[in-house]
Amino acid sequence: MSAGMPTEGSPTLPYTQGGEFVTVGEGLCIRRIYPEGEDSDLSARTMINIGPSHPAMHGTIRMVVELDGETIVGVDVIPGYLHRGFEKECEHHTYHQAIPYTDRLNYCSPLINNFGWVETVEKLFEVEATRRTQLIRTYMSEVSRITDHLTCLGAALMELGALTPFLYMIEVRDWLWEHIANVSGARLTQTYARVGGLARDVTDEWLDRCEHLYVEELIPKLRDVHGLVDHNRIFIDRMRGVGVISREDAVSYGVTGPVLRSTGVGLDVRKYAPYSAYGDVSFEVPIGKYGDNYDRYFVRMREMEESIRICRQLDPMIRATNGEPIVVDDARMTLPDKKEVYSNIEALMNHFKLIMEGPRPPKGEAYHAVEGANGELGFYLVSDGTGLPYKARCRPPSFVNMGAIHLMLLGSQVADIVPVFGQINMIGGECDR
Amino acid sequence: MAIEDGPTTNEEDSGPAPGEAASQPNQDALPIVQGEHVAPDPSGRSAGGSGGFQLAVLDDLLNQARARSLWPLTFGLACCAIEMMAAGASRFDLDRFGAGVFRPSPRQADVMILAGTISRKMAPTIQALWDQMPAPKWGIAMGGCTISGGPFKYPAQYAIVEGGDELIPIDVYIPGCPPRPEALIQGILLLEEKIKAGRKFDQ
Amino acid sequence: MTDFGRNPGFRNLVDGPVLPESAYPGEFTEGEIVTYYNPEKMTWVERMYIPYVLSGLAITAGRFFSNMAQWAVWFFAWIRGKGAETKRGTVTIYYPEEQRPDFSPVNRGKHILTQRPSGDPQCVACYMCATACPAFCIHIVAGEHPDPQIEKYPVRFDIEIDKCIFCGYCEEACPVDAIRLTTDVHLVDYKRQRMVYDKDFLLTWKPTVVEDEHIYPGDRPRED
Repeated sequence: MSAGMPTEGSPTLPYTQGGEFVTVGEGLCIRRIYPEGEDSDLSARTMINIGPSHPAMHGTIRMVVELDGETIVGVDVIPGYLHRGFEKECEHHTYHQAIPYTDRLNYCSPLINNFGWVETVEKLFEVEATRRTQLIRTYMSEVSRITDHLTCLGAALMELGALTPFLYMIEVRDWLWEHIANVSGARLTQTYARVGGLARDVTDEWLDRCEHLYVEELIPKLRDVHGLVDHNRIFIDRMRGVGVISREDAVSYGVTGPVLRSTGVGLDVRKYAPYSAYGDVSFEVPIGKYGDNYDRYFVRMREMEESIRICRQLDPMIRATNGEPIVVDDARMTLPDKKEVYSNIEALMNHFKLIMEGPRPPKGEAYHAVEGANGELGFYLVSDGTGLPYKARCRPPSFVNMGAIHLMLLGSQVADIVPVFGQINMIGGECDR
Repeated sequence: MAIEDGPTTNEEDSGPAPGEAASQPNQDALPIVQGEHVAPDPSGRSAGGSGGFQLAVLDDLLNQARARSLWPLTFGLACCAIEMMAAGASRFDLDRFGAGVFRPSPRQADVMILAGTISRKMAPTIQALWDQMPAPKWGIAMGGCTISGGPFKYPAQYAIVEGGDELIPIDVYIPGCPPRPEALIQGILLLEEKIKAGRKFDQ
Repeated sequence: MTDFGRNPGFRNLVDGPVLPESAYPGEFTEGEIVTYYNPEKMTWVERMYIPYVLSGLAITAGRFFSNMAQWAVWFFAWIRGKGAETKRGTVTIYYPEEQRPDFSPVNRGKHILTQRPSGDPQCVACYMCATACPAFCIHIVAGEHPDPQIEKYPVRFDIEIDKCIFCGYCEEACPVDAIRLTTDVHLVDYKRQRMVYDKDFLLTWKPTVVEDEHIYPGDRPRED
């Protein structure tokens, strides 16, 4: 999707290089490496099982790890402990009814999922959201990205023993969530987007208060967290040089998001395929250098700063479009105004059709990707002309990132699982769908 | 901005004070609905009451101690766990009720807060964890998924367990998707009431 | 690739083409708060543990004392009766006694049914909310009303509050403004069987603050 992807000599995936897959039990197949060569002494190895409920796994996922002393020589990730059948559910719900389910994919940044879904459906309809909607969507996505990174870093730091950053970050996240709830109606599962628009409009006071929260709460707390952990040797020892993944490996395994950018690859959907209003704002894509946990921490912290920058650029643009519509004027997908419904029979019939059958996009298929907080979040939809999607597919960034975790873990030590897993930020709902 | 970090009394059942609400955005987007249920609920919905029968003062003391040191299991399943984290953090601070000591091991936990969707693959693990918890133990079902399957219960569903009470006995149900931290706190207070009253059976 | 020395030999498992450094644009940019910092070696101050632990302690202590000072300011304002508009240092909300001041006024919570002055529900049993509900938690049985002005009314109107996801679609779908979500989130109960809210319970709700006429819309003049 980008100009920078390697084109000549497509990357081979020699699964046997650097180890081999070994069946070690019923339904268990781990990748095992031989540090001392093929004739290593296997009798000294230990197989341990981490998860699905384990202090090291702050989600429902299981890892089978083979150890040689303290060194990890085999890893297998077993996902699926939160499989809820999202894609099957979408086939049984209309395009509108599926929006609440997208909330529950990545439940740390539900708004990005919302917007990704509705923009895919809009692609099916071949309509474009109004200018004000695009601006508000971009703004809200960035607020959502901030809350996601706050959650991820807060939880990851707490697992390393730093409880204070957790409390600071969750406090700021709570302010932001309640602030989002002021416009959307719910703290976590906002269901804010609609096909062709938004559920509610934002006001100037809301934007004022958001800027107030950035200045008064978020930025001081980010400064505090930097001061607390950046140079702390306990933190450095746990993070620097741990969970290293090379640029080539990351690109080959399809890793996206902060994990990819920490390796020095500045790949960001917002830059390469700008959607909504991202083409109109200037922002930087922060990258790391070594691809270790410390870089991932830094990339996330810097991304929050960039999000604030984007929000500040969007703020006057949203104010300039005050009073403009937030829904497209298209009777195929937009519910008529309530006053019209109460008084006008045409509007009532349109309302009835839209509720009973849902928006009915023309036959076709569409793929649309947005930059989720963990990477490229894509939706692929096939429409057969009815109100229900014929097929819905979600490209979850966490799932793909978890596929490369063995590269980061092999050769590390048991205690390194905690920071590596925390910095990948696996979200169960998104990974297992 | 008029919204400042100051306390307001909780005289009304819900919503902020009208004066503050006036400064909130999106007033005209949807009218604020404030009110209360005036008629007594015919189904006896009000919680609490003095239904207990204490055998001895010691028993009472023991129950008081149990109620005020509910240690939950660190056990997040899905979205509700994020709100559980928010309830445990500084804004709501579950420690005020003695319930903020999240234990990583089920051997040290008193209450299991089932927070999130229970998939069929996860169900045996939950049962194992519940069996590992020592005897006076309570279960809280947080969110629609753990009460009944919630939004993920639909005709073609194949992946989830429809309700946590199919696996473990549940004492308090907290509807919401996910419940706000306020609702979780109310659930914990309700559980405390139940323990303090020393009820052995569901009322 | 820098060799970090800790686990040599396990890197670059994939023998793909080596990407040139200029393959992807990206910047080690200077931020407002912090710039990129990940040197290969720790400085000697970092190596000593103590200085940065102390500076971290200074940050937390500073926050503690500023919070306490702010709390003292708030306390004296509270004595003078101006506590509500003064910022309090601590962020903890003493929840059951006090409500958070920024509680969302549009928060979606418990459902209610609006009613006519006679006490009958405003609902005309059109099944729109039951259809729009993503969780299929609304169950309606329609019946004929004795009053000829009212065509249909719900004989039963049950909401499975345990399945509800509070998305507000029912409110959005209703063509006669009969169902609403209040801001109330107190739905906790001991029993799952009580989680089905029937019509009688949903109709016991009475407004304390009448802010618009639509709460009691009455029999609106028909305009068709």
